[in-house]
Amino acid sequence: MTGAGGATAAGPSRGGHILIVDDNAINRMLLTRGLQEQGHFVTTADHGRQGLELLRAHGTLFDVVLLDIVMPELDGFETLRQLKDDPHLAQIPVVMISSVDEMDSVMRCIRMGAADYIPKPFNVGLLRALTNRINALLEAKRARQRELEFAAVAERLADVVAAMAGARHETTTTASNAPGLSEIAARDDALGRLARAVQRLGRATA
Amino acid sequence: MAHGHHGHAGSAGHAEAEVLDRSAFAQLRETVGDDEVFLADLIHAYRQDSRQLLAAMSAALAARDAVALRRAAHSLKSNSASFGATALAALCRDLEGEAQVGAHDLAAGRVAQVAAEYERVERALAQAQPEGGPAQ
Repeated sequence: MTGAGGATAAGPSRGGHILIVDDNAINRMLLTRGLQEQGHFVTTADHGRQGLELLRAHGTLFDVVLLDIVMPELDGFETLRQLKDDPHLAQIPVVMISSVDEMDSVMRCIRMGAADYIPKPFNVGLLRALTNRINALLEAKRARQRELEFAAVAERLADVVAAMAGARHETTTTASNAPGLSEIAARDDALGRLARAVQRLGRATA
Repeated sequence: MAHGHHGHAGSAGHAEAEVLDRSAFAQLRETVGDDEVFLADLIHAYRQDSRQLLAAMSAALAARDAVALRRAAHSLKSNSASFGATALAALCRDLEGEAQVGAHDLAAGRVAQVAAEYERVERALAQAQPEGGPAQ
C-alpha cells in the first residue's frame, strides 16, 4: 500500500482522497499520476482484501474508491458486496475499473451499487472523464454534508423558538454539541437571519 | 461518464507483423504527457510484472490451477493492451477463455505462444524506449 499526495494536495481540501484497489501495477501508476495531477490525494491497495482493510480502518477518509474486478485474494465483486453491506462504508461511491470486454461484470457491479466504471486501457480522454466524474461525486458528497448540517441547525432553531413560545414539550432533543443561538446568528444565510430575528424577539419579550 | 473510446484495430486491417500497435503506444505516451522518465518507469514495471505473470502461468499449468491461470492471463492482457501489444493481448484473451472452460491442452500450447510473443514485445519496447531507459 502506498499513499501519495498530489502536487497541489496539502490535504483533501478541494481534491478528494481516492483509494485505488487494483492488482495491476501499470493501472495503479497511470491512475495515481492522472489523479494527483488534478490535485487528488491517492492511496493504493493491491487487492480487495487490502482495500477493505484500509476502508475499515480509515473509511471516512476516502471520498471515492476505484475498484478493479479481476484480482487475487478478494475480487471486485466480493469487495464491492462487503463494502455495500457495511453501513459505515456503503455511502462511499465506487467506480469500477474494467476491460471493455467485461460489460456483463460491469453491469452486475452497477446493480450491486457501483456508481460508474472506467474502461481499460486508459487514455487522456478517459482519465479526463474520470476526473470529471470524481469531481461530480465529491461535489455531491459536499452538498449532502451541507444539507445534513443545514437540517441540524434548522432543528436547533425550531427548538429555541418552541422553548421561547413556552411549548417545551414540543421540542425535540437536539445533540449536546448542537450550535448555540449566537453561533447560528453569525451565519450569513437564511438560518442566520432567522436566528437573529429570534434573538430580537427574545429581547423584545424578555 | 462519456467514454471517449478510441478504437485501435482500424478497419483497414492490422499488420500482423506489428508487435506494438503504433497508435495505442502513442496514446500511452500522450496519457503520460510525454514524460519519458515516467514512461520508462512504466515499461520497467511492465517487464517485472510480465516476468512474474509468465512464471505464474507455468506454475498454474503444472498445478492445473485454472483460476490462477485465468487471472494471470487477464493481468497480462490488460497490461499488454496498455502498451499497444495487441497481438500479445489477443493471445492472453484466448488463454483466459481456455482457462475458463478448463481446456488444459489448448492452454498449455497458448502459454508457449504467449511467452514467445512476450519476447518480441520486450524487444520492441526496448526499441521504442528513449535512449538509456531504466537500469535493470
